[in-house]
Amino acid sequence: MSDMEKQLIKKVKRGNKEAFARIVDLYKTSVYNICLRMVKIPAEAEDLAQEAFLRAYTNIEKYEDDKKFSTWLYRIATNLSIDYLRKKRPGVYLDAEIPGADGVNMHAQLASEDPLPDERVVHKETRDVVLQEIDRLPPKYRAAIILKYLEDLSLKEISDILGIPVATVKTRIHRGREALKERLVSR
Amino acid sequence: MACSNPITELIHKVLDREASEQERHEVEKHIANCDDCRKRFEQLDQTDVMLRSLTKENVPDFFTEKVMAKIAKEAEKESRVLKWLKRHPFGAAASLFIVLMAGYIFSLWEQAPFSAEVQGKGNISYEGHHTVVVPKGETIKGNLIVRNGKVKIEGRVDGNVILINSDSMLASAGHVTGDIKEVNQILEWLWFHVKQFFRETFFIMPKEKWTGVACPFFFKQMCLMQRLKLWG
Repeated sequence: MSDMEKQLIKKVKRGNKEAFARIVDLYKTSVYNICLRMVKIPAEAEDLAQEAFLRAYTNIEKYEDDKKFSTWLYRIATNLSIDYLRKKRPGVYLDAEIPGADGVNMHAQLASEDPLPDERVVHKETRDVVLQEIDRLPPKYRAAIILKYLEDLSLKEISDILGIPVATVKTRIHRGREALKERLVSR
Repeated sequence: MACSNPITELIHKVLDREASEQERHEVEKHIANCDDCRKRFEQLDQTDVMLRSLTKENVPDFFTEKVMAKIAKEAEKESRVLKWLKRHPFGAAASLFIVLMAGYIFSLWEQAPFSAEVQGKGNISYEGHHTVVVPKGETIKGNLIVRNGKVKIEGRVDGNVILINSDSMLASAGHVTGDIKEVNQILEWLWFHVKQFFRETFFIMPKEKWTGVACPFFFKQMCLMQRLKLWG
């Protein structure tokens, strides 16, 4: 975290709203995109992202300077998104295991005879397909995948944001990747 | 052929860029000979590439402005009472005290028995259950305070007659040099005690000087506490 950011946060803690507006500018893209990839609907994502910043502002005293601000902020955003999904789509979806996530069984993949997508060229179409498939992952896997691939965060940071051990983060990313592979390749 | 879990794990480790040189070699060696695993590795790698290619969407217009507007609104919404309590912890404690005291006093008021008190010299007699009499020819030098009853004044009172929740039946012959004050409302009753307390404490206070003064309610309560204690 840059010194400038630390200074800004200090100012926010002293009640400086201008400083918070600058924080929002710095992080709005990340926070909005986390929410967007989590909940899919742009209008809802915007509401959630705004709510995340609002909560960050009202709870700024709870933020401890020795930790990364982004970790704290992303945690608020992912929690809000997961809560939102829990309320919107209750039940089966959340705890559903990903089909094919038990990557141990190699024979499961034998059926797939489809050709691979064109060599490493990702078209807009493919991009939409990837996003669509991410949306189909259960929220906890989705969150790990989003934080890793969209925000390019380390496993440790993801573990701090989601409040789960690094080993669990790994498992979720691996399973998420397996599930996505299944769906992307079989298309 | 079914490949072992460790190889799957290693494949992911390679994709996570966490594998050591040796581990990478191990994977390469394995997939060179195992078609299933090679295919699997390629597909996972492809997925990884696709995921890495994801770009972020632009944030809707006026996002920051909207957040700041919400913050301003939220600040307003926070009730004034709460803010006041946060800023004045002592005030908060005092408010709680007042509420509890009010309850206590109200219960006292409700249960208050009939009583008559002479502040000064003089004899009174009783008639029936709730009637106090200042007999003919008797002079009370001081105040007469009657609670929850009736008073019949046939003699003289050189002072005030204070009727708390009480009625007076002034006989024609009776005479009161001071005032007859009726206190029937709980607030009046409280205020009366406060005034009484002040008068006794500071002695020289003119009768009505404090009536209109906006003495803080809390202070009144404190005074009242004193009074209640004095009265046992």
